[in-house]
Amino acid sequence: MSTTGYIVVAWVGTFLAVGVYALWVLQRGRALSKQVAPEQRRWMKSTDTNAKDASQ
Amino acid sequence: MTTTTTQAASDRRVAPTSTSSTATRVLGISSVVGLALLVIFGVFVSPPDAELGQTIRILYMHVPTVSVAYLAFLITAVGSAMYLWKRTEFWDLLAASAAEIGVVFFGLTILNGMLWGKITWGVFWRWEPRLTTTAVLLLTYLGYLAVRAIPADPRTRATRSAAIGLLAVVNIPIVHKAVDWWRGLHQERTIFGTTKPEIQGTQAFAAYLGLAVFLLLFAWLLIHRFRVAFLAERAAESGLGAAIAERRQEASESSATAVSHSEGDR
Repeated sequence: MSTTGYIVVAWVGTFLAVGVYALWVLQRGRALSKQVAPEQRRWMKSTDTNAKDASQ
Repeated sequence: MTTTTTQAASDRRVAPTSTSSTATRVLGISSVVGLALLVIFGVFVSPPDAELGQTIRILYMHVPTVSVAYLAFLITAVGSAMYLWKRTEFWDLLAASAAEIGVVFFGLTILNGMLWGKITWGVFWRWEPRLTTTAVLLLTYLGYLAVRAIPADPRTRATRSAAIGLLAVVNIPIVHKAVDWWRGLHQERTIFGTTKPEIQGTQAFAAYLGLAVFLLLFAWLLIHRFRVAFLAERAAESGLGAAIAERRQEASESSATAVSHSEGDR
């Protein structure tokens, strides 16, 4: 393979991999949003695992 | 009509149907525009380097990906330490999300490095110090993700992975200093190195643009991945809750049947 070929593989490979990963993340987010109750779809809500354990 | 529209808008804010928000849309659009500019400057406008020739174009991908991977692994370490201190889900999920993105970008760093090595050294891989320590670092974070995939209650999983997240980060300075500590094929450190990279003009612009764009991309991915992890936790909890309710109903039905049988025997 020529130098140009390796450069093309590097750029296309990077863009493709990041693109596929980003699509997978977005798709998974959409799928999970349907499974979770609306009131629980709040971002940045932190749950104290100790408090949760104590309440169980 | 206006009240209905306002109510609908309020409901959409309360219950998002994806992991997107205004902030992520701004970040996402900025990343796409930045990537387009990077292709223009990195592939077409930037001239070949006097020493590296056309291979400098691979470094426009290699350096930003490794920088983002290092940053992601550092966030994993900070998240792990904070989890062990605060014991909150936020820090655990942040650490896990950053680790996964870090692995993706670090894998791409290795891919780009191998392609650059094939042109420059004539081989894709050599077991020399920098490459060997790099492979160990990748395996360590793959191990971190594997440990997270082991079925366990969230607290146990978070504690285990936090310990690994803290231990794994020790590898980063070893990888970074490997070119100084041992003799090998890899060139000297470029990021936080002792030698100033001799690039200027369009080459420097393409290099720094790549770094800025990949940092934007990382921020966008991290927010989405964190929200996916958060939703996955809620989905797992609701699934567990439904299973417990089902078992309780089965148990109460079977006990009711047993009582009616015993009364029938009398």
